[in-house]
Amino acid sequence: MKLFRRRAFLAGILAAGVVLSGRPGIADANVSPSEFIASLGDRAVSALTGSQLSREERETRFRELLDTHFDVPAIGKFVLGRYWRAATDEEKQEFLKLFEELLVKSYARRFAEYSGESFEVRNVRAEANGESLVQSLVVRPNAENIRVDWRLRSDNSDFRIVDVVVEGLSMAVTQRDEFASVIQSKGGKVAGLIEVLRQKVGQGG
Amino acid sequence: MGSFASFRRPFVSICAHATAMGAAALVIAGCATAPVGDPEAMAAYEEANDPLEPMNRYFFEVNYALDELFLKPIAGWYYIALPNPAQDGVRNFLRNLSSPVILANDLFQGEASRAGTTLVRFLVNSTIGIAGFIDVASEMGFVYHDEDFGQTLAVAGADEGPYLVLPLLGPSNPRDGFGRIVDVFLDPLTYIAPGNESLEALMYARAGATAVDSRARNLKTLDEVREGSLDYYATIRSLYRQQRDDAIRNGEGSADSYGLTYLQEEADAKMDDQQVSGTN
Repeated sequence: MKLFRRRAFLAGILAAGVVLSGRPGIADANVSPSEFIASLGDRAVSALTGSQLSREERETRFRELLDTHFDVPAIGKFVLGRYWRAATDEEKQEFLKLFEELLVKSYARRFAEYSGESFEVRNVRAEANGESLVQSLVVRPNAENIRVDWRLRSDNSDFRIVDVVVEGLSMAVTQRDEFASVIQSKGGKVAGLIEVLRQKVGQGG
Repeated sequence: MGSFASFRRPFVSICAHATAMGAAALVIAGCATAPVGDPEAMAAYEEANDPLEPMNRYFFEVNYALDELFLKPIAGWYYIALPNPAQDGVRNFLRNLSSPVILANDLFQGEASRAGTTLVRFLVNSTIGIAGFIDVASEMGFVYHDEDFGQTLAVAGADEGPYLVLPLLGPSNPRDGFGRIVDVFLDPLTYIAPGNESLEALMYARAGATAVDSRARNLKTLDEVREGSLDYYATIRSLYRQQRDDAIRNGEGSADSYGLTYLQEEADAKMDDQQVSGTN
């Protein structure tokens, strides 16, 4: 197992990492999944950390990275699960927009607390349907290491992240279970979830 | 994640059992009604595997209030007042004390090499590590792992059963709740402490310190999870199950079933996607 040591960017247990690719098309066909994840850390650190960054600016950059390197529509469909098909087209579109906003609001600010952890890619596993799982370790000098796995799908010559699994806790699965519960409490209606999301995203702003 | 097929039996027996135990009113009120006749709602109901949800939510709120009032403030002071190395010392000490229980469960699961690791850790840390305060064994490559009887039952094929929130103890299920009781009996202190004042004190101190130590390590994380969630109860329920699944697999990646589920979802999603873009 080859170790790629990289500067790191994850401070919290549920922190999601991303990338600023100011140069579109940077991912050429020769980039491996592990290189993709390893370089992502560097770029996220340079784009998102630093206390002089305003909240709006951090969120804008985070959103950019999310759009570039995460497959937000696929994640959104997965987390809506069985309710995706019951939703109307308008609901689907509004849900995806609000879901992305929720991710931005929840995760962007965590990069403000970056404290110089280092980041190692340990292993890459090929998964079903052409996905790969990049297993990484966030090494913290005075605390225990954190396992972070990245589920990637290749999108032409590019990679897109579809899930981040921290110590065995999948963000996608957690979000899906939570949304299912909200929808059930709203009488099985996706519209009910959208209403709750609107309030959440609005109030967080 | 887990099998949901056999949830109805434990659900019925738990309701019946708890009723018999005298918590009648609470449990009857606590048992949710299954949405029979609505396949979508029924599927969601079975997936949540939480037939006692109303009662669980009640205890979840009670636990939350108690945490805010007592445990969290104490853990906060502990976190601020005690230097990091001292906190690590406390954790090392607590982990070393739980070595016999871990060792027993390593052996029950037929994990010889992990059992060896636990044994070496206990011998090295209890002596060179000064009663367990210093984790010397880790430096030598014998890294800590957790194990409990709930995990042993899972490895043996036992179903987790429906979700439960226990008063004071928090998220659980019949398998893990039963496992906790067995672990008490696997602990040598349970047998040697009675009658010995200092050992009895040690047991109480351990219980308190374990709660404070683990809470202190999650101060920020739990606040963030709560702030970011729409339904904190459901989020914790999901996280608890995933954490247990991860512990049962000893941190090894899950089987391909997850990927396959994903594949299926994706295929469905793609179909829908085409429909969406077709209509746009």
